[in-house]
Amino acid sequence: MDRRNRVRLALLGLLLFAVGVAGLLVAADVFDAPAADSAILPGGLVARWDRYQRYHPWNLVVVGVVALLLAWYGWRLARAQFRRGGGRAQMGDLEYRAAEPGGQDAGRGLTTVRAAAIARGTEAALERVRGVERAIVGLFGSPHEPELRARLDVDANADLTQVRRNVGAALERLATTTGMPPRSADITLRLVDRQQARVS
Amino acid sequence: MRAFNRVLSLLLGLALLAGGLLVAAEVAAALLDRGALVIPTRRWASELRETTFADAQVVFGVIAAVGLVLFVAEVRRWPKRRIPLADDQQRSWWMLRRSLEQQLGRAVTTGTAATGARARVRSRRRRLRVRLDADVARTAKPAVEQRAASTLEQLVGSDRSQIRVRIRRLERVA
Repeated sequence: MDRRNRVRLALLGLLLFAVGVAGLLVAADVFDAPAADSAILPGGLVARWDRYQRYHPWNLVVVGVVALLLAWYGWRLARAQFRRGGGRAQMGDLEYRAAEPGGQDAGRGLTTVRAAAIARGTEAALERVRGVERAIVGLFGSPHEPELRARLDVDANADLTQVRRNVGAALERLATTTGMPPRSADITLRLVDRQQARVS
Repeated sequence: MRAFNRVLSLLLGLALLAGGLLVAAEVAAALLDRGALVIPTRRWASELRETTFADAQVVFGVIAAVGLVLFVAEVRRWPKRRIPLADDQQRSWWMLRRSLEQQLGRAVTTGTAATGARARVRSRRRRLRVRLDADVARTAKPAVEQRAASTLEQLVGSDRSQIRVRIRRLERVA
């Protein structure tokens, strides 16, 4: 997300700079045409648009469709700013098919575990690790081989090697319980003072 | 800067959303011969026909300046948000740079004679470069360095860092 924002805004900056410089160069009469004293919107262009519009009114529809596409892009752009996981697809719910041991009929039932419940369970398991004050977990990709991203607020005075070992063990236990080993885990530690974390 | 980018992208997205819907509504009104709803296109067009490039010099200057500032701010090198700690099996471990900087500054002010300290950590490959600006007497510089090194070793592991201490404001010994 951050990288995309950066590229998008750099391109916007470049575009604005190009427009501004082009306008300044025209205003300084650097080019033969348009001249510095020519109108920003040439009258001929407006007249031609009006004439064309009279015979091809559907042209306006194209403008409307382009405007709607821009509105849709704007909506996606605004919504993406509130998403976690850097644009990754959120993990779907985990489904377990019921099958009697040794039986052939695998379609007898279905147990669904919500992805949000697994994420909350993982957070609770990680917060039980000594030294971890708060955990925020996101699960992405396939529910059978998800990508786990976690941010852990860790007491700055804790033994970080031990914390990492215990967090690793907690994740392994969770993978065994759910039958869902994460394909990869990306864990970011944020050092906090114990008192500060407790107050918040 | 990342937060600023998010806010700016959010505003850009909302502007595109509102503008796009408004233009679509104007197009629908024009197709139904209802005239302009909100955007006075005719008036704007006639104003732009009367304004020359020379008249709008200041506006173009402002646009170019804003574009340049935005472009430079986005393409310059940003300090990394996270510092790599280790990779084991399929797990990668990171630490938020700013939290490490805060802890280093705090460790120096609580464990040495420094009355204030600000740390800046930069990471390149697996090495860390730490710059510490401390309010302390010059004679206490080795103690500050030692304190910072031991804190770093405790937090990110040993033999990974290069520490440089700068005296920001000399604290006079009474």
